[in-house]
Amino acid sequence: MKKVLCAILLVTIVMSGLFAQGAQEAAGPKGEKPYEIAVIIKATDSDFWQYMLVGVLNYEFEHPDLVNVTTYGPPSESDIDQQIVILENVISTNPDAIVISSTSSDASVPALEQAYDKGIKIVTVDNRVNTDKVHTFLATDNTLGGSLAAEKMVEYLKKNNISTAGKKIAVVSAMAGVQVLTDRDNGFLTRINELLPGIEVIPTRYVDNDIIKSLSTTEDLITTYGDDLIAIFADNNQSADGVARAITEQGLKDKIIITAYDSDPEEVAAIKSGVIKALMVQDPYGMGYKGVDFAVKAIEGATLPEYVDTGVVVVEKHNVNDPEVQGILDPFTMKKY
Amino acid sequence: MKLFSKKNTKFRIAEGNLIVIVIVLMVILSFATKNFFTVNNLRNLVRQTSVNGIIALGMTFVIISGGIDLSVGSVVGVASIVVAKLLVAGMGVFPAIIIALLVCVLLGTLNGLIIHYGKVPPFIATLGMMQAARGIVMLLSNARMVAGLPKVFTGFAQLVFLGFPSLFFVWFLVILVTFVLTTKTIFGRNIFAYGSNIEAARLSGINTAKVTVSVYAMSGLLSGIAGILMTSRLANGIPTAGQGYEMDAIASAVVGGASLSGGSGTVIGTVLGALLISLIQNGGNLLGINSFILQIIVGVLIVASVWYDQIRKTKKN
Repeated sequence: MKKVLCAILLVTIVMSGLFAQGAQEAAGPKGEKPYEIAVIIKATDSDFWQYMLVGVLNYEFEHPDLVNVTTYGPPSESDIDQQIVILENVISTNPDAIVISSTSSDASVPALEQAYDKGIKIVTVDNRVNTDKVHTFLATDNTLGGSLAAEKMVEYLKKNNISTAGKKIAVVSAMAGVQVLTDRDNGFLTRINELLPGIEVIPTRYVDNDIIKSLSTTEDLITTYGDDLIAIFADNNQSADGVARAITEQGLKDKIIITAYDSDPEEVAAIKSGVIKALMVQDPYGMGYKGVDFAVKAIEGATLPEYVDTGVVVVEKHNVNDPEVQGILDPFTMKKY
Repeated sequence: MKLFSKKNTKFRIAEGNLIVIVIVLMVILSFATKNFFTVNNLRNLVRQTSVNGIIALGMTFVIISGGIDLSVGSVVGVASIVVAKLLVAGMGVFPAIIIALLVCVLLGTLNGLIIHYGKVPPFIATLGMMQAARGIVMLLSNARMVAGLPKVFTGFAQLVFLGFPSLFFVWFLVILVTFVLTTKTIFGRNIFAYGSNIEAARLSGINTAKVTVSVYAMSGLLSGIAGILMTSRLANGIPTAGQGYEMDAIASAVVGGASLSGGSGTVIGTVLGALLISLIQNGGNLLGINSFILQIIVGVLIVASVWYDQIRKTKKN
């Protein structure tokens, strides 16, 4: 009996201690310099999000007295639930601001609203979250980027004297059901139908974000449609790498025009060799850098625009070696820390 | 001994059915599309199947032994990044390949040791390895592609011997070796015995540690070979290489007649299973079938083939 009582007493003491601690934590962010800023990315396994972190950490390096940044992220973009767990843990540490590229538009809403109510400033990046309780949203207009890819495609078809009458165009998409990719594809399709009325667009092929599947799919497209296939749009780096490899292997770079999205070393090599004609490149470095900057502004009480377009840069053979473009293609070259 | 020979005839029936399905599908595709039965497309088909085909053979060994290897996809990634890093660092092609393969064999061996000596269920041990190995890949590569591989290495996947792509020759060699191992050697027979009844196998004097460790080491080795071929083909070390490949490999083995409860499975069956899955993808692309419908077809095929197998077994009994 004594033992049980002792145990209960001990548990009560420990628990009350914990709750007291918890109550202190719940008081909300401190709001003193250096501001505590938590940055949560979608996935640690991709170049794109690593580039964003370079922007984030450069900002911290340049402003050591102003911000103290901590970065988080689940291993892969499919780990939606894991990102929520990270977010909830981050909120309990009471940072002054959270910069998050939320994988899901809905799953993170309850946690973000709770954080907002506690006084934590919320900056969302890349993916819109379905709540008003955010201070600003930074992203690329993917529909616009898609339509740019269509314009560039038509430009290069003309330059290469490829006739479009009765010919076909294909879209190789990395994955079905991902909003940013759907926006890119739709932007592309709408614009290409405006520019080339009557062109036949082959139903979109999805390749599970796998380069080798993209390569196989492109081979099959070439086998099926032969000379009728005059252009391919690939909506991210993995799909573009596979498409570019198939075109390189079969020596078709002058017959099939490729425009694509994103950048990675393989895509850049393909631009240089002329296999990919134009890349629509987002600015993840800028997203990270500006994301932290906007977070600081929000902490200091500034009113922020609801939406900030971080823009798309078109990379082609003639500008691929420009220093500004190099910085966007490989933000690691800009690493200061 | 009788037990095994009876089983073997049963496999032949399963394989016979698969061969018929594959041939019928090929004939249909030859008539339905003008491009299927062309040298170029058939070359594409075997090239597209080689990577999964090789991994699936390693998986077949594991499945016959009553286990499962979920780490194959991550091991493909390890091979890809290790070989690419070594080559970029200036190492010769052969030593780089050998070291990358050794690393993969080591990871497989570790799986086997943990499963045998630690008595950790294969599903769990290899699930852990799948995570850890992918972590190693990300750590080594910083989640970035490794570019700048020498032409000697990247050129291999483009070679064509006697009309067949080089990847096919590697796959063919693996088929030969694994076929001989499973059908003609005591080692192969021991794997079947172990998979059918572990206790009986142990009591009849089979070195169970050796069997377990070698099947997982073999799976690691074959995944490594697949990873290196893929790296050569894509001319880059790719950190996400192989993600989800464990599922394709399991599907190929199961469609080919391997049973997840162990003790059954054949090399030829798995080869046909892998071929069938590729054929559906390739044919679907040529026919312009909606890719979501293709996904449904592959799903149905996996369940249907096992279901059919069950019906046949109950009838026999």
